Amino acid sequence: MLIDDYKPRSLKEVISQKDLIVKTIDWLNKWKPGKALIIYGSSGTGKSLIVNLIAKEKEMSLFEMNASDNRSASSIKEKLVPASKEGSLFKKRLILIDEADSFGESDRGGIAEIIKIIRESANPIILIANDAYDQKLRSLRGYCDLIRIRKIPVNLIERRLDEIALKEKMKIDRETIRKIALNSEGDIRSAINDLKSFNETPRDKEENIFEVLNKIFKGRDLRTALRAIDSSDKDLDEIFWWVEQNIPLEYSSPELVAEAFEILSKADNFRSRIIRNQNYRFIKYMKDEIASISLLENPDRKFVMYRPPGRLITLGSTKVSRKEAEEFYKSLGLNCSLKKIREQAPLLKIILGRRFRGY
Amino acid sequence: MFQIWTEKYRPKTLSEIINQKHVVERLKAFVKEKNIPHMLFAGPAGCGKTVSAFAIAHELYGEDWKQNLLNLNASDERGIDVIRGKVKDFARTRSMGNFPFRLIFLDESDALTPEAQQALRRTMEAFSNISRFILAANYSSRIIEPIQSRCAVFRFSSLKDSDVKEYVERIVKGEKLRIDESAIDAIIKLSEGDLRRVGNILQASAVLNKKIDEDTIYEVSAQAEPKEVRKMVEHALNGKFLDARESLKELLLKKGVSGEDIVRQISSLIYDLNVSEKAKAELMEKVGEFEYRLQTGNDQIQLESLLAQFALFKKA
Repeated sequence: MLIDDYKPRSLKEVISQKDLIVKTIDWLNKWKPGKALIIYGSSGTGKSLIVNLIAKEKEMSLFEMNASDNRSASSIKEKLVPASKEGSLFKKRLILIDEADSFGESDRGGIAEIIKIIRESANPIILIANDAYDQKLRSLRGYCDLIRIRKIPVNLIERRLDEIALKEKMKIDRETIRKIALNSEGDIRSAINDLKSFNETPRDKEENIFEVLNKIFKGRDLRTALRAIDSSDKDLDEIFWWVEQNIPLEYSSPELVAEAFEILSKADNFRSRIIRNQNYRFIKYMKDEIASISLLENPDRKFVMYRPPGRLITLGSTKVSRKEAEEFYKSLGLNCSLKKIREQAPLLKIILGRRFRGY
Repeated sequence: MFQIWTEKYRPKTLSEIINQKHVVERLKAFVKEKNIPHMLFAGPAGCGKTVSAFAIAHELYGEDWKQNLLNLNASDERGIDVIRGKVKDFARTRSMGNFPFRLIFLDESDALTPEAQQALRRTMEAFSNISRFILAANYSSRIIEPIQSRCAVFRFSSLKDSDVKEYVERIVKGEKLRIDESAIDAIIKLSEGDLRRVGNILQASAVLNKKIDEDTIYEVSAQAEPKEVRKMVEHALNGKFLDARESLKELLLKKGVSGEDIVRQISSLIYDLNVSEKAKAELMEKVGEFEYRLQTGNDQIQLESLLAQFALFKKA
């Protein structure tokens, strides 16, 4: 895969992130038992890669555990305790716990076990997470130093994509490369993967979502828009949400925004018939509705950097998840529904002060 | 020990219930005879419906009340499965101890889906030899006719100013609060007869100030206003559609407010909006249309489409 072919082989080849590398090596040099390190930040920015390369260049042996492993208390104990004991005389050991914020239901007690191991481990432990402030990691944070990894600047991603496209002799224009880089939002892994999917030969080419959106928003006829929807690499529901996300970016006049949403609202009602009654016949009508957005006459045609749906929400880190808040509300033992408690939440927040764990 | 006052000062017996004399007298008579019919309590929020049901259970069963009362909140568990499962299982089991029947309390039962209400009908009848139902609702009209006809309907009236004052004084005395007379008036005005709100406003004010004055009450109460929905609508009217959308997503995804609740709040604030009368009428019609579409659609899409309609009435 492209992503493997162009993976940095040494720390020197890593783009950006010098700061993180220096800090991490420094942390390792000064490491004393009892403390672990959490490296956290957006995905595709190089966290795991950098830890791996550091281990390689410092000639440490790496013991890794990630979300694909069973991480219940007992299996962590079974695997990590031996690894945390003194390594061989010649090679120091580094323990990496990747995807530390995705301990699932079945991994109950796993975090507590990790804390125990951190306190006794003879080898340094590094944890990797997207969000170090995830509720699940709360108890763990007290035993850890934190380093945040930055997103990779878009222009550096663009330059890297250019290099790769050149070496691979790809037929891809600068404009598309720029779009991919912008759209990656600092995630170089997704950018390189996207680059690959843009380089398909034209004959069996799947239309990428940007082109599909272009044909829906800027097209002039139903058939072209419909064909674009059908040949997209995304399924209809994904396209639906891409359209939802980008309507207000495409149109600057409120009239057109309202008209486009009016169409989407109707498409949505077909959509729920499909979902609720498994009435797949309505897929056709949902498609027709979405395609009909192409008939809106937009005098103000401009280049729009389409954005993927839903990202805004997941990025804004919710401190308290909905489920945790509900648990908290229930724990208050008030004799009323969650709905009523939520209505009273602002007052409860004042009353409870720091004890308040809702929103 | 720390306690939320709405719980601490919750009446435990029928005699402690504030006002509702006409209802309470009859309930007391039922308890005395140890025989109650199925009942429907209708009335506004925070006027004593839930409290009355619990008091009945306390007085009927004493120590054993927990085993003999099934307390379900239909707003949290409103589906047909709950009625067919939990409720039915409880209804058909004989009471613990020597009591003639068990009690099932369905709070906020106007949130039960019509299907769930239909399912309830048979259960109420089939096990009436060993089980009694008390349903509470804000509006009896949202309870289907067949259920209403199986119940003795009790209408709880909204509390008068003097009732609210009685409750405030109960807490003031119990907590040894220092409070201005004008602050009490402010609470009465702001609470709209909802004692749950009274308790919370009072406790929040006491956290902020040792001596509670009128300003504290207004300050606390302003913080409790559901401002987000208004803010969202204002964004749309100001032509900031993207901000309006962010507010919407925050309400739906982060705060977990239902689309139905949001659309109702929107409809209740239309008349205060800074737009022409004609615009208000048109917007009201749109709100109605999208509330309808919500029933068979996705909350976010439908509300977003509604906000796009509001954006057409952008303020000059």
